[in-house]
Amino acid sequence: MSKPDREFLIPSNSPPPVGYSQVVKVNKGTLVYLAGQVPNDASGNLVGEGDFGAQVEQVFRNIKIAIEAAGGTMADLIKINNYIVASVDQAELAKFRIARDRYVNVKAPPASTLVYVSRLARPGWLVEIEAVAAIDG
Amino acid sequence: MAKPVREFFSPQTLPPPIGYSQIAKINKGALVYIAGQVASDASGKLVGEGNFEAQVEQVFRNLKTAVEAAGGTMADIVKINNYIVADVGQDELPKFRTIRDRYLNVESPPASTLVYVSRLARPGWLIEIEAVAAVDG
Repeated sequence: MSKPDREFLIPSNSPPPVGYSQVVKVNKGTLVYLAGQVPNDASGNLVGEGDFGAQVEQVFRNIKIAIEAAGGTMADLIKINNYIVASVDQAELAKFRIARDRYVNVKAPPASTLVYVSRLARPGWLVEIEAVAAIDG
Repeated sequence: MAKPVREFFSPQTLPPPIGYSQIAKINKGALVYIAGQVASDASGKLVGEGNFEAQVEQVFRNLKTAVEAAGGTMADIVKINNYIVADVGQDELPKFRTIRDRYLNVESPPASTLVYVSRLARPGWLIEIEAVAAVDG
């Protein structure tokens, strides 16, 4: 039997992750690196000024556009790195998870890292998410 | 016709990137992970104390050394992650872009993420850049 293209793993002796996989093993496929996506629309305008939930939504919308433009789907994401501006309250993290779980494949979610940073390249941006995907072919 | 080794592109449906690609697709080649490069020289001495521009230059010089040591060139870099110390003024960012554009292949630049962080491993370092490359072989 051939190996699956990808395996999403949560070792039983790892800490239990909330909505992500601890390990993703890529056996096959084309790797796709996405630039850090920010809450701008296609015309370069900020979406959701001062509204963290709206910005997360726009960022995931952009990730979906990018991965589909590369010939993949959201289920092909193997790793996301999430950068949130430190001034965003800890209580807002729940909004991030709700939006994320509507976009990623919750049965086999990507591995994930999340950190709070001092700021992003443009004032007004509250979140930036970069991703790596492995697509067929 | 064979697929190209790498494809760099930015769909019109995404925000327009400044000097980077939204997507880097790796169809073939050996992956090279480069540690975060800092503004030190080969003897470990800090280059450009208090001088952001001089540090960016040294970091890109070190990236070039690293990717060439792996048998690649700067054009093989598919992703860069840029970490700038928060006390570097926002108005210094154009200096970063000017130097970056002298080192990268501006026709097909890598995907990129840029964040400001509280500090780096060594006091005095103002910027750190890590990279992934895909080289032939």
